[in-house]
Amino acid sequence: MVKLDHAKKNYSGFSLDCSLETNPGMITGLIGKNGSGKSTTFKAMLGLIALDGGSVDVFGKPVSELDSKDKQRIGVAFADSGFSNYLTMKDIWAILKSTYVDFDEKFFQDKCRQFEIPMKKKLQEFSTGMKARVKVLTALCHNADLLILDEPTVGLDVIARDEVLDLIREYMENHEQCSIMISSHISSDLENLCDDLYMIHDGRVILHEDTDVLLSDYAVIKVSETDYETLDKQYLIKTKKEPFGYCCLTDQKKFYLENYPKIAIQSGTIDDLIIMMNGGELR
Amino acid sequence: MRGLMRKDFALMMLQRKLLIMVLTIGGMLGATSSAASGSTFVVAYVGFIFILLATSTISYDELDNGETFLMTLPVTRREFIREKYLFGIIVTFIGWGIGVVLKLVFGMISGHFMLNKESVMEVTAILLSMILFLALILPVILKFGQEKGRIVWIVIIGIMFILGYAYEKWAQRTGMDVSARVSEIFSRHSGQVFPFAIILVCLLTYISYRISCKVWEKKEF
Repeated sequence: MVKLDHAKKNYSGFSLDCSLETNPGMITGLIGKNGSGKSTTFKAMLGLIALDGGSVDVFGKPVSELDSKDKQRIGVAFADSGFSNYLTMKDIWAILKSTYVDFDEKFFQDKCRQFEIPMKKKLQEFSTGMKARVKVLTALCHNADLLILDEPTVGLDVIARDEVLDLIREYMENHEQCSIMISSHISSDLENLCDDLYMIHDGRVILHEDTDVLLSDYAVIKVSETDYETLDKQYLIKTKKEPFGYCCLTDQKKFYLENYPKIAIQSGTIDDLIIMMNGGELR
Repeated sequence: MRGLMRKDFALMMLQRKLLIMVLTIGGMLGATSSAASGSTFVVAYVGFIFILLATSTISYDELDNGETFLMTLPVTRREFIREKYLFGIIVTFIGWGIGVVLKLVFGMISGHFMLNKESVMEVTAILLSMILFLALILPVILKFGQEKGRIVWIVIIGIMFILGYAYEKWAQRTGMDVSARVSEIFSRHSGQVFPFAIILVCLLTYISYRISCKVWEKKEF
């Protein structure tokens, strides 16, 4: 559905060179620390920035050639952008109804009722959680084939986060051929939601893997200096010096479990992965 | 585009208190003006305030990176600009229409009401100048934003003032009065000048639209 082939964008102090792909029926996650290029990647996907090189294709055509009919098939939610905060939900309802040919009024109405979204209050009076729900609802209300959700759960408490994620899951169940691209700081959100994950660091994709594989085959190995000397290093992706010895990331957990039963091997969480891949320190 | 139009009307209605105030003042001006020229001023006053209200929707779009999201809606960049022009022209017509109604009503009340060729030409000239004003400010606001746009306007007005001053000095020195000559042509050939003025305003509005499209197509969000 979306294909970025070395999409390049240069800013002073930051450059993006990103290749990734999303496919029908899949939820693809984009993870990375602040400033790693997640939002720039999303903007490139939506044709909001001019590329300095490479290409972005959406629905099989260059993003710059998307017309309004193509854009009817895309639903977008940004963390830091949306409808004016001076509008009410009633206004937004009317705007969406006039904007999208396939606006699902019943879905919108039901969800507004379910989330107890006030119709006559301005968005600026809404809580952060309520605003986030409105943004996601706006993206989901018109049966889009492609959803681009940039940090839809940012700043939300656990309950609100869960509600937003449930909304996305429910949408995927009802739109099996839909493709969703989502970013989040909270890796547990993505662990339970995404089929595959891209990790981005300094504008480059440094890892792409199926979430199942990441959780089953990746592991963090903690060894003393002497154990490290005897360790077979061919399946280590990253090694970091630590006060106790070494901390290593592998994508062949089984190999080390079978051959080194005495060393400490922890199943890798996405948080561990981000920390290891980004060269930060383990807690 | 209908959705954007709804949004802009909703945003404009946020300033309904200002709108009511403008109409009240317009009404008072109309009621207190003893001459027909005074009530003509009401048309211009209400109309230009409506233009400012129409362009204020761009500020609302700019707030909190709103434009980034708006450009993900199913409109192309060109359609977005088309909507801004269409909305601006519709609001201008509404403002002008209200102004004309006020002028007629208070003209009748005060006994200055005259429906003749001159008064029709007068209000038509105001409408044309309003659309021209809209066509001038829209590319500036879209390029620089409402805040920076104001600074750009101060600079443009400054340049116009300097040019006007230079013209006056030149006219004094050479003894030629171009503006008097132009006024003379206008009054003598008003039948021909008006259709020409309408075509010129339409052409300038189209050029302005094309410039705004270029500005918007290059813009990054």
